[in-house]
Amino acid sequence: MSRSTRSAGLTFAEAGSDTTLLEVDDLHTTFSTGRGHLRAVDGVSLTLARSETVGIVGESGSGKTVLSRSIMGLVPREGVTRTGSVKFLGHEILNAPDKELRQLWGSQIAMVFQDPMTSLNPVMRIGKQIAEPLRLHTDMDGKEATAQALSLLTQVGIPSPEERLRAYPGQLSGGMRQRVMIAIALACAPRLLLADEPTTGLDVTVQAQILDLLASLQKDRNMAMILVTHDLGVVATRTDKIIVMYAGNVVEQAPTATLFSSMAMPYTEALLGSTPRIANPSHTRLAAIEGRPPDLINVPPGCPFAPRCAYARDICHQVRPPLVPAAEPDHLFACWFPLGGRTGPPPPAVTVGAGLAGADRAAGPGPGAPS
Amino acid sequence: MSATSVPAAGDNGTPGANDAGESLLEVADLRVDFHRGRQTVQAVAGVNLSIRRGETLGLVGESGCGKSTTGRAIVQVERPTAGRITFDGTELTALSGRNLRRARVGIQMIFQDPISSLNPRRKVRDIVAEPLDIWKRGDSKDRAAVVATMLEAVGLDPEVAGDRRPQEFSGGQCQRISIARSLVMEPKLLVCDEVVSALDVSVQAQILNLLEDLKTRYSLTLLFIAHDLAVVKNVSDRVAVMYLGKLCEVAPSDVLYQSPAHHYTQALLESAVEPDPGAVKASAPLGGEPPSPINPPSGCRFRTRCPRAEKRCADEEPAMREVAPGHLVACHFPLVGLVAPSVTAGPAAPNGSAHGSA
Repeated sequence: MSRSTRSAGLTFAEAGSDTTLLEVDDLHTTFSTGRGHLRAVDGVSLTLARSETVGIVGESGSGKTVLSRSIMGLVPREGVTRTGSVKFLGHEILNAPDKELRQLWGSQIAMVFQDPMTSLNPVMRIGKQIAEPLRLHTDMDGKEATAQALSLLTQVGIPSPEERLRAYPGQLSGGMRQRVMIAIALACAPRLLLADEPTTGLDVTVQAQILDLLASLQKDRNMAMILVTHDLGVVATRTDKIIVMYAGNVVEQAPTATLFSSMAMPYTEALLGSTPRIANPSHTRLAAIEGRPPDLINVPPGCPFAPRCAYARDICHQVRPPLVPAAEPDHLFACWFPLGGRTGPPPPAVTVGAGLAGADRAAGPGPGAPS
Repeated sequence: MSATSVPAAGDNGTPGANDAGESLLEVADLRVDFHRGRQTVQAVAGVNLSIRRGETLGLVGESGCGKSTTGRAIVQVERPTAGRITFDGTELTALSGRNLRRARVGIQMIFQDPISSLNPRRKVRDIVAEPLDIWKRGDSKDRAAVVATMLEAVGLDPEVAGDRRPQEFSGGQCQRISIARSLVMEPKLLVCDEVVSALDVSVQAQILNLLEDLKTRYSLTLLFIAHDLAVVKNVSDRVAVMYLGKLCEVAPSDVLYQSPAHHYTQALLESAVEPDPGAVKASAPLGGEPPSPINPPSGCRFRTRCPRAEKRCADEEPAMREVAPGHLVACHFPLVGLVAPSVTAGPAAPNGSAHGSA
C-alpha cells in the first residue's frame, strides 16, 4: 500500500536487520481497588518477531486482555500502575505520553476488539470511520481516503462495498461489523495487529471466514499479530507460538506444535481436557477443572493454579515456581512437577510443614525466575 | 453410541409412525411468526420433532436460525402461530390460562445468561423455592428440605449459599442456581437454551458434567439448544440441525458428526475449530451469511450458499426423508444415500413425511 507517513514527532524507522518487533519485559499492571491492589498482569515477558503470530490463551480473569491493552497503552492512567518495559521497534512505549502513543495507534499498532457494535461509532457512516485513520496518519485528502476505504472494504470481503460505505454500523450484521473493524485496523498498514477475541460471539461459519481473512491479510502485509482468545481451537492452527496465562502469569509458552505435543504445565493439560471436542464420541466425560481461578487481590502464595491442580504437593502451595526452559527449544513452563516425566526446576529447600512465613520469604521475588 | 438405552430412531417403523408411548414431546408443523411493521419474520417455519423419554436431543444452528424460538415455543413462552405441541400426552397448544400453566409444570427452562435470569434482590434460598411457593407444594419445612437437597445436588452448600444473593456468585455458580430452581418442580423435560455459552471452558465442563449427572439421577429428558457443535455433541444422543427456521438434518450424534448428509451440516463441521494443530484447515467452507427470514429463498432455504445447489433446489422444497435408520435429511442431493425422488404431485407439505421420527 502506498502511503507517506507524516513526519512530525518520533519516527519508527527500521532498526537495522533486527527482526524483533515487540519486546515486553517483566510487565506488571496493577489496579488499585477499594479492596486492595489487583495484579491483573503479574510479571509477563514476551518477544514478537516481525510477521509472527502469537496466541495468548486464558480464561476470563487470566489477564490476557489487560496484557494486550497494557502493551498498546490502552489502560486508564488513574488508579493503574504499570511497571516493566514495552519496547516497540526498540522504542520504550510503556508510560509514553499520549501524544506519542497517538502516532503509534492506528499507524503502527492497531487493535480489533471483541464487540464490533460498541467499538464502532453508531452515528457515523462506515466509509468515514475507515477513512478517519487515513486522514489522521497519512497525507491523503478526503477523496483519496474514501477511495482507499472502498478498496479496504473489498479486501475484507464485504459484498457491494460502494453501498456499505454509506451504511451505519447498525445496518450491518455482526460478522460484517467485525470485517469493518478489521478494515479500520488495517487502513494504515500497521506492523502489529492486536486481535482481542476477534471471533467470540460470531457464528461458527463466520468465525472461520474472519480467521481466514486475518491470516491471509497478515501474510500479504507481513504483519505481526497477537491473537487473544479463550479458545484453544482458535489458536491451534493459526499461530506460531502460544502463551498460556493464568492469574496474571504466563504459566507456559511454546511454539504451537510443541505446546500441543509436549505440554508441561498441568493447567494447559486441564484446559485442553475440559474443552469438548468434535473428534470425541458423544457423552465423553469432560475433565472439568474444579474450583475457580484465585482472587487476584489476594493471590495465595505458591503456584496460583495449585488449589485446582491434581498434581499439587506441599511445595506448590508455598513457593511460586519460576518460568524455566524445557528441553524443547523456546518452550518455557512454570511448574515444580511438570507433566511427561520431566524434571521441574530445582525446588528450593523448604521443609514440608514449614510455616507460611518461611515460604513467603522463599517465594520473594521468584527464585531465579528468568523473566 | 453410548446411550444404549435409547433405541435408534426409526427402529420402530416408518418415519410416519407415531410412537406416543415412547416420545415425551411431539412437535408437529411448528410455526412461529413475528410481525415487524408490515413485514412477517418466519422465525420457525414448520418444524417437526419428537423427543423420547430419557434422551437428550441437541438443537444446533447459527444465530437467527430459530433454535431459541423453537425452545421458547415448546414452553409456550412464545405462542406458536401454527402447529401442535404435545407434551406427555397433553396437547399444550390447545390449552390456555390455568390449564396450560398446570400442564407445563413438567417442562422447565434454563437460559443463557445465568446472572440476569436470577433476581439480584432475593436470597438464593428464596429464588430456588419460588416455583414451590407459587404451586403451594408442601409446607415451609418441606420446601426448605427440597431446596437444600437441590442446592446440594448442583454442588452448592445450602448452608452457605442459601442466604446469599446472586451477585455474590460467579457465572458458573449462578448457572448452578438456575439449574436447581428448574429442578425443584421435578420436571420431566428440561429445555436448556445456550446454558454454557457464557461460561469459561473449565466452568463449562463442570456444568456439562453436572447436567449429565442430573439427567441420570432424576431421569430427565433434555432439549439442549446451542450453537457450539462440540458442546452439543458432548451431551446429545441425537442432534437436529436448524437453518433459517427449518430443520435440515436429524441423526444420532455420532452418525451426524461422522457422516453428515446435509451440505449445511458438513459446512458447519468444517468451520468448527478444534484444539489440534494437526487439523488441516481448509479455507472457510461457506461464504456469505444466512439470508433474511423475512424473504427466505424459494425451495431449499440453504440453496443460496450451497455448493451442490441446482435448479431443482430452487423449484422444489426438499422433504425430510430417511437416508439411513434414524438419519433424516431434507436435501435433494444428500451426501449420504440416494438423490431424492422427484415429486411430481402438487406442492408437498413441507417436511410432511418426517413427523414422528424427527
